[in-house]
Amino acid sequence: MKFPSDEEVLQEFRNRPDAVPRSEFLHTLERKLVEVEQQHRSRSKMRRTTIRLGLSAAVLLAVFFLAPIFTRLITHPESIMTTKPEAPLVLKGQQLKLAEVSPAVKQTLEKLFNLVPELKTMEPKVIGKEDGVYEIVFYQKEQGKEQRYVSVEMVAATGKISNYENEKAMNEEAPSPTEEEAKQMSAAFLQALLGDEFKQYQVSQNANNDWSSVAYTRYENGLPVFLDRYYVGVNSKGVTYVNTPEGAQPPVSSEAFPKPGTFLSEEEVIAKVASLIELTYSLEKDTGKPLLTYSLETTGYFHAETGEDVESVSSHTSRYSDVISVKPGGKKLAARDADEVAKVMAEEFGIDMNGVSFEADERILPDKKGVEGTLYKSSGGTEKIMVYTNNKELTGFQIRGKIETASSTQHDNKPANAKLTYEEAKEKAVQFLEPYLDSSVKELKIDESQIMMPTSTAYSFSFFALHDGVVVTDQNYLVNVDGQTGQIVNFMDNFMKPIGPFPDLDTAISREEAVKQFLQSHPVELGYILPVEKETLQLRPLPVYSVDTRAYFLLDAISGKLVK
Amino acid sequence: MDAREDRGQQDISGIYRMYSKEVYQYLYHFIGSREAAEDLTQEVFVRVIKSLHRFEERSSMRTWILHIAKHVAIDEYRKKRLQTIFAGTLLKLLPSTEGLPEKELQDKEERTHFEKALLQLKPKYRNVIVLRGIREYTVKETAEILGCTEAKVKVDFHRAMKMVKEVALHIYEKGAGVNEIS
Repeated sequence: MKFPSDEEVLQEFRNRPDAVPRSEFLHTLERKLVEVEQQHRSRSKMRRTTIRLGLSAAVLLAVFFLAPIFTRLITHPESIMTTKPEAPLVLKGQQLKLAEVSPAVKQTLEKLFNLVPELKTMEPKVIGKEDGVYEIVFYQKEQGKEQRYVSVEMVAATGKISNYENEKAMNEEAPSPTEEEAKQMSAAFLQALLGDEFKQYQVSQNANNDWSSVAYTRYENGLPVFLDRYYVGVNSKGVTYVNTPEGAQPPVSSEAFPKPGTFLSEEEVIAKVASLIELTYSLEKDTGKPLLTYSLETTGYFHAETGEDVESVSSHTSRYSDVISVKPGGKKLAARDADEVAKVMAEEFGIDMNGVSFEADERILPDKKGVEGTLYKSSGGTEKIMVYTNNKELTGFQIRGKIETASSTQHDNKPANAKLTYEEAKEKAVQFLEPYLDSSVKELKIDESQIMMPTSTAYSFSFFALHDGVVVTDQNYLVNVDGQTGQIVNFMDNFMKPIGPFPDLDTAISREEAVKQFLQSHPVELGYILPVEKETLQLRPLPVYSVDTRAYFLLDAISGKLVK
Repeated sequence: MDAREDRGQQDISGIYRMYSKEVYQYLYHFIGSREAAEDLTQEVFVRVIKSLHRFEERSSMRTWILHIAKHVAIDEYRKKRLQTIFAGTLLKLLPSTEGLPEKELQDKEERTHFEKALLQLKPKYRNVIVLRGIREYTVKETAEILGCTEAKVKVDFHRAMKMVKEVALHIYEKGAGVNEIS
């Protein structure tokens, strides 16, 4: 038995055709889930209504008592002056003893020991979770086995906690706390850890009338500091976790927050959000009917005074290239059986088929309604080739010489040891693609944020067809070009024929109307953010409007109704 | 319907569309059967719907959902001892070997040994191979999904890859599976 490398073994698993879900399954399941979700919501609503009635009085009392405290916190915020980031005191993966941690972390640990005294008696393991961040795990022996008891992540330079988990408490069954208990326990815990800094934070309820955790957000000048927040998990026995979704924020003094000035007017906000939504054509899944939709493409924040886009640590948007004009060949490649597949690969794409044969894989490829898909795999030769056909026409191939893969998140379209530049590879990709473009395609754009079927040595180009200058999401082509040889190592034709005419752009509702609909259900929120510039977090807070990017927003541009 | 409920409904559609393929693929590789992966994908999203209100951005939505998927997979594993059930299923899925060239036959059998070998690993090793190796999640993401440290992911992954090869060789030499590998 010849033993393949790890990568070859893994590649075999990845290439299993059944590993791609059937499109029918996805559609059926989506319908089922919508039903389940509707039932769930109706039950939740009834429960919430009952709870609301009972809690109303308590909430009113709490607001009455807490309001003066918040006012005082806002008008007299504490300042912490440190704007220069420290050099990393611990490196990723570095193991060390508890006695070797930084003084700031030692101080925080003392506070933690006061809150959870039994930790003092445990010998923890300390490791660099990433540069400048410790992970400290306390273990307890149970039946001779070490069990994780508490884990805590702390920034070495500041001693700030970015994550705390009391696994013992989390695993114990305990009823949910009341609102009062939750607020009291979470505030006492966080105050003990943060000291005076705690005064900068305001308490709020979590997403859904649930007191299993309590949110604390920093406020400056009466405005929230987005992403500077703690979630404190609680049960009726105590605190189970503390967590910072975007990591512990670096220290920024209150003085560094610019005083609120003249912010954009409501009309200007509408105009700005209008510039963030994009028209897109797509094809309805079941019918193939073209739809025209509005969707949101934003970093999530824009400057509250200038309207400029502001990137944060959690921003992600599509990046479309400039328009590429093309001359479509409309060529179709018949591939009815393995022999024809081999012939097409040799004659059309110039692949050396010497000693190579193809075999149709019995396991059926995921198919769309009315489309019969077949996967052919090569044997013999020096390369592994997979060829995809739909209704006896070749729609794609993948060539792997030596087995090499790359995670798309790590790839960033910078293939190893490339001899071709990005532009040269792109030109090759377009030249290759033109003969096979559907005859209706006159213009393309590349979504530069998409890296599909990556290998470590190839550039990846995801081309989208345009109709009247608008991207058609279901008409796309993938071409991957080896950066060293210029060989086309992937080609996937994902062009779907529309059933019926594309809606006329002129009949679409205006951007402003679409934005008003969006803002009605997702109003923008004013606050501060630490921006990311040139991939570096800046310790210079900016006043921004936050746009809700978590909610799925797709609006039929013709009817003005939300697409479910 | 109030605004929050409206938003919840939009969220689940968006979440489903964004993550259903990933969840299916993870489950498929973990249990080795399309039918079971489809059933369990449904189970995962039903759990997501029920606990969406508890999602507190302690991790990304993706790792949170895959964390749920991991629990669903392990629950199922405990219930049915999947490794024995699906080893049989995989054999049925194999293409006929008649008329194949010798090299091709050898390749197909090797792949089968690895498939069977993966299903004989304990869930923790199977998980790390599926997530880190096959699905190519980063060490950090894998650690978040599995609820362990990044160092443990690295160590377990190397160990699991070694084991899967050893088990495959054992199956090849003995012509049969071995008991679950710990």
